[in-house]
Amino acid sequence: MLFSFLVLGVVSLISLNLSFFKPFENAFKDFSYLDLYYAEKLDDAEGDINQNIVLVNINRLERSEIAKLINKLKAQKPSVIGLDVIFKQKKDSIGDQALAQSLQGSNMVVAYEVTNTEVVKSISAIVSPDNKSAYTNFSFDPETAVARNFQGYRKNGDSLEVAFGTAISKMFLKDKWQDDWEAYLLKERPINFKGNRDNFLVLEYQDVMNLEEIPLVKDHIVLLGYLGDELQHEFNLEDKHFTPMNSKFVGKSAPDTFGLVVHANIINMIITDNFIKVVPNWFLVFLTIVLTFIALAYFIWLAKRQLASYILRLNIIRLAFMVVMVWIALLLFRSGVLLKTAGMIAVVAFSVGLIGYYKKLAHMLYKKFKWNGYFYHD
Amino acid sequence: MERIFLSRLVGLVFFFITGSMCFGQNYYVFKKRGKPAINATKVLDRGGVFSAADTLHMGENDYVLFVNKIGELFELTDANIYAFSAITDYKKKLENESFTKKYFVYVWQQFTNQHKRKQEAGVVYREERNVALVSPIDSVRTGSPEVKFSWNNKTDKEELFFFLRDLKTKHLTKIGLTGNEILLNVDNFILKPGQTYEWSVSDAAFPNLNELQFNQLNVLTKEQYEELLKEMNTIITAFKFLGFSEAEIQEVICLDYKFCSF
Repeated sequence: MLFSFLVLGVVSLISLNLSFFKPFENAFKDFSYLDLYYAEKLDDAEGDINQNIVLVNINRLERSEIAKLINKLKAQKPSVIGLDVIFKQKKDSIGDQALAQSLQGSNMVVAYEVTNTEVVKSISAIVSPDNKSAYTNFSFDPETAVARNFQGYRKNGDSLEVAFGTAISKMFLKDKWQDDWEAYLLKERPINFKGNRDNFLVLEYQDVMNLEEIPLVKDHIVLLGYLGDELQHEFNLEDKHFTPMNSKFVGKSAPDTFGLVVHANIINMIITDNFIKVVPNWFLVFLTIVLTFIALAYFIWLAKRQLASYILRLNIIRLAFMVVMVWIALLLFRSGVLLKTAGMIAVVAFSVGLIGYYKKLAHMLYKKFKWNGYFYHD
Repeated sequence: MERIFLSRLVGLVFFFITGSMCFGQNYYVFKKRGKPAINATKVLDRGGVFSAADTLHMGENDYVLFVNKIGELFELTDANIYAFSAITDYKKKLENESFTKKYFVYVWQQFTNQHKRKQEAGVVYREERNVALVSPIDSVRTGSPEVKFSWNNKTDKEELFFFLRDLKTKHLTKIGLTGNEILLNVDNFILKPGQTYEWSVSDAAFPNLNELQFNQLNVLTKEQYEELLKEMNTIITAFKFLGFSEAEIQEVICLDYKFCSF
């Protein structure tokens, strides 16, 4: 085992430091076996509807129309209204004023964005300091392009900034909000995705304006943002992100999910207390060592018997191990536990492949130094 | 005696609970495509309520997905008129294949290279963005006291213009409307028996009439109608003998012999 870990360490050190391997590193950076869970629809989310969250599409509406939309929605008495839009510049003064008036209210959450260089907010003529503001970034890890994780709080000097999804969930849950979630959400946590645009009630401008009463809005969360064209949203790419729900989880593909839908999934996860529990790294290391030891012990025993079927058995068992480990990981993921098996599979599969080299080394050591081992001894 | 009383009491409670569940339940529009309507007049909007007093009118290519208070989904896809009580029959069938089976089927498909891959082609699709005339089809003869004109609006405009031209007098009637149909009576004013008309629909108020596609319609007098009906009687009897329904026979005669009732 020590021999295999030593070789593995040297190989990984070389691959990490050689720029030749960079394309491979980049290709696998955003890859996860667990994406299979969403891509192949192994989840049972088809009929999973969260009626607590209603999405409203602002598409290409003018500011005055957005104001009308918000006023109409406010009349339905929702619990919280989240506006996932930044109004960066002044436009027509009447529209801006109407919008500013519509945003007044204690149950409104407005958005801002933290970029690498600045914080982008709506102009003060529209969003007043009294409005509850929250950042719309999902993660602050610059290395990842897939919206897989979410950071609910962020420490910025002495102040504590809150994420859009967290602010809305907290406002919705009121007394049911658990105080220990604040510390928990200070670190990045995996998002428990429950569905794409189709799994939420999406209202268009005309739907809201045509209806006198919208019972599904009362006491629920309303999120306003861009969700593309009603009929052609598959082809709209603005504010669309790569998520584990992408139907193509390996290779080139287009972004699959609107930012507003990612926020809706985050909110859904928080308000239903459906967080994904991550298996700690120490346990992963422990499990990797145990599994590698068992695998090596079995294959060394098999190698000593010098069976003709050794290579065939090695390959079949290695393949079956990979399939079963991914299955176990997916099964656990379904139950809300994230077990990262990729490293474990790689170490075990690579280690058993090194038995031949270890045998040669043992033979050399025995001949030169009379070193007694399992393969060669007096 | 106590047992009988207890069983009746249980039955009564069960009846009360199920009854209140049925009557107290509304359906909410979760998704829709096309122009499904409530009570034939009010277009259904997402988030709207479908309650016990309503009927749902679904046309061709319309789709509605309802959700109830407890999150159950009801999917309607066929053109028809649905009563409120009928919606429970359309509960959406969800895939109930086990997780493990789905995973191992996927693995097997990967090993045996059975995974279907979408063919990639560099092309765009374009369809005509016009108004397609649906009914009455071209060169139809009818003795019906009323004629329903229908069309399919594939343009982005809601307001359309219906044109009816009397071929004898060359008089052109123009009616501005929204929706996909208009019902005209043979009232000796707009439609007169014994006259031949052309009809069309355009999204423009003043289209080039020479380029507009018109369907011809011949409104029969009572005598012409009865004479034509006599001619068709042999065919109608033959179809009836073969077991075709009244509606099917009418459809065939309309399509093949251009003799229609609306």
